[in-house]
Amino acid sequence: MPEPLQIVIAEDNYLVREGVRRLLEDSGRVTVLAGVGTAVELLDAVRRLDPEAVLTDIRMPPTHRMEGIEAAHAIRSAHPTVGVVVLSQHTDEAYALALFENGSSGLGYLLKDRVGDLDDLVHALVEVSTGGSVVDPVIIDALVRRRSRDEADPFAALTPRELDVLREMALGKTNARIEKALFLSSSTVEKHVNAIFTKLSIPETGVNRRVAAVLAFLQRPAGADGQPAR
Amino acid sequence: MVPRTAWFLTLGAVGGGSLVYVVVVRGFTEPSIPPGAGLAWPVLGALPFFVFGMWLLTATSSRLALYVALAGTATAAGAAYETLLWTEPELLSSPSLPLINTVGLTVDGVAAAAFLLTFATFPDGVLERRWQRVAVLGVWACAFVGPLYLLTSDRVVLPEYLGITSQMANPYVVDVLSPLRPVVDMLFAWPPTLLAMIILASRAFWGDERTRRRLRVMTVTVLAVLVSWMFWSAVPLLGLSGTPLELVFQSAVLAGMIALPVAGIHGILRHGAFDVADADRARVVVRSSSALITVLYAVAVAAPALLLMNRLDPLGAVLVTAIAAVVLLPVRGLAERLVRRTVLGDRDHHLALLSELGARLEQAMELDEVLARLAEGVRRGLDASWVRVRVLGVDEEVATVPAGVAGTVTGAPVATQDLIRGDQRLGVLELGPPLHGEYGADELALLQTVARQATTTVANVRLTARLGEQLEELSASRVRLITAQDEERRRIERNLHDGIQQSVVALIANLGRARQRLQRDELRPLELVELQDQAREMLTDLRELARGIHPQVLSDRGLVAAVESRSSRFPVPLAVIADEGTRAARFAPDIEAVAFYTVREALANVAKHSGASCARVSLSVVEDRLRVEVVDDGSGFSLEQERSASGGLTNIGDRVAAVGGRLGVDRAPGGGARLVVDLPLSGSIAEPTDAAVQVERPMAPDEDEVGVRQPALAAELPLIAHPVGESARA
Repeated sequence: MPEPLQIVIAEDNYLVREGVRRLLEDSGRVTVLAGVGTAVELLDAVRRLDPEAVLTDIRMPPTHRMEGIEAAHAIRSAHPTVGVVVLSQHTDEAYALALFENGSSGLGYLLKDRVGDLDDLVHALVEVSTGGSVVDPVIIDALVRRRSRDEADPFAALTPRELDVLREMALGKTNARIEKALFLSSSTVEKHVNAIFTKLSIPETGVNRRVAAVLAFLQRPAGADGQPAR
Repeated sequence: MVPRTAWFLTLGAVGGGSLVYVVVVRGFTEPSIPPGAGLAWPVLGALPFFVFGMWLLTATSSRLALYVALAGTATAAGAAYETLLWTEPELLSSPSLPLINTVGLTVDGVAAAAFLLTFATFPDGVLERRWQRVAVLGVWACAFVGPLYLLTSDRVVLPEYLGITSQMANPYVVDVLSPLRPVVDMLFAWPPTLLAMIILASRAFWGDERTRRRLRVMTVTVLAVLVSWMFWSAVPLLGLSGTPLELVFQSAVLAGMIALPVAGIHGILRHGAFDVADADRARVVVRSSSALITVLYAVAVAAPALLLMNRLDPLGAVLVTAIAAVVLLPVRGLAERLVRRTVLGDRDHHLALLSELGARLEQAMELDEVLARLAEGVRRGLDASWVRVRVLGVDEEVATVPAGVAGTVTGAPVATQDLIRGDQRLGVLELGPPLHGEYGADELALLQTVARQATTTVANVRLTARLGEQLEELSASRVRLITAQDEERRRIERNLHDGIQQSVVALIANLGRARQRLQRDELRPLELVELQDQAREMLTDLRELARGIHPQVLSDRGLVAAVESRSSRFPVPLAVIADEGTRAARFAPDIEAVAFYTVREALANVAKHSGASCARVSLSVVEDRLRVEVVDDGSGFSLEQERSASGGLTNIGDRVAAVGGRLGVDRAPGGGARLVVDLPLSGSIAEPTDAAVQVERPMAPDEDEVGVRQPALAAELPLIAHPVGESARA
């Protein structure tokens, strides 16, 4: 068992904060250094406790708008080693894009539904703490939906199975975990991954950079002839 | 007017009669008597003088007109007396001669007095100083010469100009008074003239600026006459008789004698306080001026023949007269046109202005502009010193603004004209006194016509303005409603997002943990009970939220039930009062929604701001309106709340106005706040009220008037002497 991941939780709703804290601590894979209720307290805690990752709500007092995203940006620029997973109720891709507007390294965007899935949650925290990226599959779906309305867009060429693999990839999963999640053989997963990268004309890259590459592609304006920036 | 008319008729009869008598007798029945005393004087002197006086009487109400008319009449009567003595010589030996002669002398005396008065009180019969008004009475002395001679002279004294002396003894003489006879002689000569001269001179040289200005021409003329007369008198003393210089002075005196009446007429016409301003009088004056011109024309035509009577044969006289008639005809036409233009010209122009006013008003769009144009048009049209147009408010009572004013308003109006449309009094038009004379019936009739035209315009413009205001208020209220709706949606979203959704997230997290503990065989049944409770709480929250969006009970069970179900969750004791009829009644959905919203917002205000210990909601049907009343015993509405229109109140007002209802707010008797809303039950989309919220200042606690816009409704409201809430506590 590796060393437990040291994190700080920011969430203004007490029930949610304590529920998540107990869930994570019970797993034994995470140590919660602090649970705070506002973005200001979060920044203060990060500065004092130097956690490996942060799990933060997107809406917090005083304005209940996008404090979590702003805090994530602040943390990433002041403490580049600290990964941030933003928990959100928003399925609008706009919020995710706002989080990733300055780069996706060390950032994750998950819907709050994920708190029921301990493995995914812990994995996401580990992923961002090592500079990786995590995007909730729902957001990927929304982005893909938006892009594939244009038939000329390469996304329209992805098969449903390839999209399933893409969603799992977005969660930062390795091929092995994708195999497990989708009950596929390793060669099949590899085939799908290759197909995805070929169809989207994204150069193959390490697992750690895959999400970033996909995100970079998704963030490009639709109809930009499918040629990736190199 | 009446005295003036009476004078006109009396003097006209006397003078006219006298002149007719003189002309008929001298010109036709007895032309040979007396030699040398033809028609020249009566026709060329007395007649024009008399007609001029009569004309003045019609044209001016100044006292001077009366003096001139009196002088003219007396002159005519004197001529008649003269004619009478000549044509009836036997009168000279009649025993009634002394008495008849007294009348004759009096007539001459009156003529002299009136003439001197004209002179002294020139140009409008008004004297500026008190001493002058007293002194001028002395001029009347010469009017008493007749009776005085009757008492003091032992012989009958005939007028000198008759050229006849009578040796008849005067039987009425009073011996004791006979030594006074020389004094009476003097009365007919210098003293009255001197008195008149002194008065005139005092005014001409020491009067105020206005008097001096009005007398300037007359003063110069009189001085010229006096100087030339002095020189002429001095001619024999200086030994200049027979020299050309004597002729010069003589001509100067004669010219002066002509210049005097000319200056007099000039002064009278220029400063004689003519009151021809109103239309009725102006027409009278035009007619009388016409008569004057005709007479003067006739006199002028006759003059050559009369003057040359002794040297012309009849044919020559006819010829001369005919030539004069032809030559003077254009002069007459010119004079008539001149008079018409002078007297009526401007007036016709004014009236035309007034009739065009209606058309011009219709081009005006702003009420202020309409009123200003109306006021100015009427002022110019009727020659008024000022005109004010006031528009009445909706309640027809107060409202002094807006007003249109032309000229400077001073004193009370002398004429008013209501602006009436249908049975509604829209405003009133007030006129100050006219600049000249008085308003005539014609003018007032025209004013009515103009007022009718103006009323339509004023009504239209006013309606437009009010529509504009209502529209503005309506758009503002609509914007507020939309804003309130957005705010409401945001609130619901916030509640969902930060309330229920968070609870679900917490439940998911807890379920995840439970699953994990189950895998490790650590899960205890109690934890599942906790999760169940958590889910149940969520359901309760969801119900609350749904009720907040729209209370199902309102749709299912009606207004009173919905309000009562609310009361159980209200933090302070709350009584809900409604009679059976109201309880059972179902109203239109929009009315029920607004009523419920009103109660909810009002109660929210009570709970938030008032610090009340109890509150009461009354629901009742008053005639065809649903009344909602919310009363508490808290701190009442503060001024700050009213100023900021305290969000909740404005929202209530907007919603209430949207269904045509009314909102009133005031301080409840015994402190606290009272909010009353009336909602129409028939045709729930009534015409919008023009003010959505009428927040009134708190009244004294002992006043039980409610800030509803119908004071009559206030009486129906029960007095709240004690804080309510007992029923809720019981």
